[in-house]
Amino acid sequence: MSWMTDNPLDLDSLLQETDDDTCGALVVFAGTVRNHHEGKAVSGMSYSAYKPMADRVLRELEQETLARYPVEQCRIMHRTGDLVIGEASVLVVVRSHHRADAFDAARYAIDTLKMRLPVWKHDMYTDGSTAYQDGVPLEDPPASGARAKED
Amino acid sequence: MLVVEFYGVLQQVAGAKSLKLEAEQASLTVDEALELLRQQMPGLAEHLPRVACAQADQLVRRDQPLDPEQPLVLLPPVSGGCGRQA
Repeated sequence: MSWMTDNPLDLDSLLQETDDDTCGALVVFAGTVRNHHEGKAVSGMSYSAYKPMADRVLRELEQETLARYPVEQCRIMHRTGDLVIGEASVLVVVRSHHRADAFDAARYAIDTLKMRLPVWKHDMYTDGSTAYQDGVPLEDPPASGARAKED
Repeated sequence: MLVVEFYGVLQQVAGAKSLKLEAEQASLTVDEALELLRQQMPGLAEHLPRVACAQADQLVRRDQPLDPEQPLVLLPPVSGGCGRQA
């Protein structure tokens, strides 16, 4: 099982992995590369990651989502490398017995990912310039206990 | 000596993916290592207050002692997923 990949995201494989006949709801969220950012035309985007931590964060976020919501399946994958406009940078797949839980869980997973995942976007603009997007500072781990997890 | 690794915009500012930090002490806290880094590479100073630090796959607090055998990884504010309003 993988969470971070340099290859194009494969929705079909995630649907197979999460196949579950007890579920009547399937929610798929895909984040895709937009052609503009803060008023500038974007031609593409490069995603980089600190993979040792990113894999762990996504693995734990899947488990956390499953524990927090009454959903049966949760898989998350994030892309790295150079992406073109319209290409998927992240996929969240959630299955549950009923739709409301799947919507809620998928939203929690993507919103939390954006706060915790060590990934950086480098915009490439149509005028030839490039810039790293600013983001959310990662929170320090709790003070109690050495090397405590950040979440 | 401690290896410091840079990610995201920090690679651009530092002009490198990593550097070797020379330290007189055998053991440093994260804060002490960042202070040495600030002296060695003043261009990074404005970024350091918003940087998170990690060793291996775990974040470390500023007051924690570092494992000198592992690189200190500096992680600027993150921007994974998709756009802010997507």
